[in-house]
Amino acid sequence: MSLARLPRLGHGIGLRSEHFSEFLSGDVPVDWVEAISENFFLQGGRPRAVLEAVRQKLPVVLHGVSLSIGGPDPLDKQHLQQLRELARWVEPAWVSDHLCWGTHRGRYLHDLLPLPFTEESLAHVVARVGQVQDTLGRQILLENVSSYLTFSASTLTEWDFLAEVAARADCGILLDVNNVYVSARNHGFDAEAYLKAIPVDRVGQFHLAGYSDHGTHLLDTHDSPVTDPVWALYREAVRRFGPVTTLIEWDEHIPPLPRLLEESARARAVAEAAVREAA
Amino acid sequence: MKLAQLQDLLARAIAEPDTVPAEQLLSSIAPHAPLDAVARAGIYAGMYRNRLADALRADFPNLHRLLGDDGFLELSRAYAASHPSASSDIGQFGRHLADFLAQHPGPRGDEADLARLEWALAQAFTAKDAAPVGQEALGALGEAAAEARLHFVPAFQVVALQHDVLPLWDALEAGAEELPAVDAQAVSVAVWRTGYQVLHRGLPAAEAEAVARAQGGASLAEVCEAFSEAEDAAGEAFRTLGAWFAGSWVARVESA
Repeated sequence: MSLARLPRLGHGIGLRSEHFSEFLSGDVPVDWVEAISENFFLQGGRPRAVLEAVRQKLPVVLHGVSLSIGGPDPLDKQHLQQLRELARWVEPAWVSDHLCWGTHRGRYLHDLLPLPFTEESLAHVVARVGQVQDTLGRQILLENVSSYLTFSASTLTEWDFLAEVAARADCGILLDVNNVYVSARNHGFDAEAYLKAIPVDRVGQFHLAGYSDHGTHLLDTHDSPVTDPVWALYREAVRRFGPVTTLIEWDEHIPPLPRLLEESARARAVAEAAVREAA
Repeated sequence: MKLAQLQDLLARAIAEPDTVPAEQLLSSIAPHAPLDAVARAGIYAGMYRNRLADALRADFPNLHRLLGDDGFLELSRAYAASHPSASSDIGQFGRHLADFLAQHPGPRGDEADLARLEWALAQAFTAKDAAPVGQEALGALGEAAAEARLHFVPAFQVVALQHDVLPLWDALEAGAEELPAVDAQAVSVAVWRTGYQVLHRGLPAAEAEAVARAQGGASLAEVCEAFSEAEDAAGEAFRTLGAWFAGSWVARVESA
């Protein structure tokens, strides 16, 4: 089995409440938008009205933040039902979430926590991805997360773990280039070696974002422009994986729409240059 | 260590850091200079505290203004310790904050009521949509209107407060430096949404009683009896019901 061929949607931005008015009042010049699934679970109010207007004009992708695919608790059935209902309504190009965990004994930690990279974790995650894909009736994409710690018990590298999950669960990969860079700096591994270990035919989407440098470590804050080293790594990623659908993530200190579009235009230029180089 | 044990350890290190001995972290989390295992777990613990405080600040902006940054962060930590987030929607984290404040009152004593009002306002913003009906829906029933029942839109609710915090909310919203004194007068406040705008107003006692009757399934005649003490009982009932329809409170008129 392999990942169903996903369309290459071009360059998009997140659908955030700060830009709802622009999305409602006119055409926003982007190729597609990514909506945070949980923000649209409630079946009323302004968020759904905006998403309804947007989906009439642009392709939409659903991206979740709290599936807790590697968590110790059983998968949240209500969450899955809400996601299924939303996906049926939106008809997104695809649905994604994170390769991480965030719940523990009924408590939501509201974070994307790292897993130990072991055979036990692999089996646990693969079984649960199967559950999710069966419920949704479609393959999902899983995103690599930024991390600030690794477990001594790990027997696999993060990139081998991610590739194995995708192969065994028959799901796709949302490759967050910024997260690769942040984790590489925090743990001292080679970011380009990470990219080279990821199977080309599993990658359906890229994320780009800004981080903050705390001296001792980088934090994945999504509150600033993409940095030069991440642009360079993105260029390498496009050379390897092709012009995969790309999103600029900006979730804190969200700038006016023109500034965000400028960042997305830069991603397009970098990707086009990388494609020319690779030809 | 097994997956479940590692997750238990990290979850406690994040949410209850004081309960986890450093040696447990040092033996489970890989060292990588310049940060040791305790500092690495601490990064997650700090983000957890800040994320929950941010969620509360979004739903309780005027309580935040009242308490200040430090006071609000202290409240957020105490609340998180007794009411861990139990929903994937972090926007639901604050649902018990007013009750928590009622059990742990602040210096003014009316903080719980301010929180109860702000939570209702936040919920109205995302309540399910429903098209309101106008007063003509009642007129169409003719004589049968007296036995009809009103159904309110999902975004409408009445909040019962032990203190009248409406002037306090107004002052905080306006950024006033001088805040009104505590008013121990109980008050009922209607909260609703028109389009995407959330509105509220205090209800006179007779109107609060009328709303309560309507929400309890009383007939329109029984609802109007709530105004029987008024000098112009019929006129008062007519004007008040008209305001409910004009305010987009009513979703449906059910004939008997």
